[in-house]
Amino acid sequence: MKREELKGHLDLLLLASLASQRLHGYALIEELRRQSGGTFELPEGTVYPALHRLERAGLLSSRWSSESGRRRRVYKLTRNGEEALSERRQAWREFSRGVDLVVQEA
Amino acid sequence: MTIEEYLSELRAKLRVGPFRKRRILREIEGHLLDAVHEARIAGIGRQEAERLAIERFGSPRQLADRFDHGRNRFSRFRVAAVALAAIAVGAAAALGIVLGRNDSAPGAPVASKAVRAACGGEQADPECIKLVTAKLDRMRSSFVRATCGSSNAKAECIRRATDVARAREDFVPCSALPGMVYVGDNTWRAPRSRGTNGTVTLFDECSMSG
Repeated sequence: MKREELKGHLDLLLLASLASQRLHGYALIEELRRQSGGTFELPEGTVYPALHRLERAGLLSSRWSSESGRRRRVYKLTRNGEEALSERRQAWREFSRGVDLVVQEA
Repeated sequence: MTIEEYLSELRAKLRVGPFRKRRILREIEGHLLDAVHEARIAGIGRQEAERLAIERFGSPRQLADRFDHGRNRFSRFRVAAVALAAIAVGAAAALGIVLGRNDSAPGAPVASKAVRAACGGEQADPECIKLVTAKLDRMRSSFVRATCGSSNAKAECIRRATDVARAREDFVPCSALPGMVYVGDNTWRAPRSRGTNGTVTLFDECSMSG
């Protein structure tokens, strides 16, 4: 998938990746790569501005965590983030269903 | 470029407050060091590992612009929000003048150090203090609503979100950015002008009256 296409869905991807676990930025990128089977190779510098923006919007919260001798900023969904994720998942399902209907070969 | 050089350049280019800048630099450093660590495990030399980590991350300018873009969108919201507050405050100030009240009367907002600094320091303009204080209050209220919801908000959530809003250094209106100078007439201007084709970015000039 081209990078420009991916950017439009970045928020949804980040929120979904944090749905069931707390992750720091590096682990989050690795998780996205793993879950997508290598499809999503995010430009790594795009993640942190997005995470900060989502946190400012109240959808994520974060704290410093020390592991393996290094401090990392770990993110998780807030309750508002869970609601936003649910809404965006629904919106994605409707969107992708519509696209499938249009692009399917006769 | 080494990681140290990358972070130094990023530090110079980031246009955010000092607290937030420190946090961003620590996060980015941790990320780059993790990437280098993985590459070293794979047998790549230190210098090459750093180069690859930085290449995958993007240039300091690109990263600073991305943080800047996110902040600019929020700043425009702030300016729009305070335009309404400025109208209300301006009307109240005019009424105060008509009624003969002055700004040192009981009930005038107590200005924080940051607000005073944004409004001229020792000679802080009273009208400026009112506008900036009103803007901060609205921004904090919006943050609390966004965090706790506008209805069914639990008291504990509101209390915590309010504490966070009061502590966050980036709840600073564009008027209080380092270098901004209040030049009167609801206008702040940076000593150094920036922008092209005669346009001025929000970092350089913010008209509180919208």
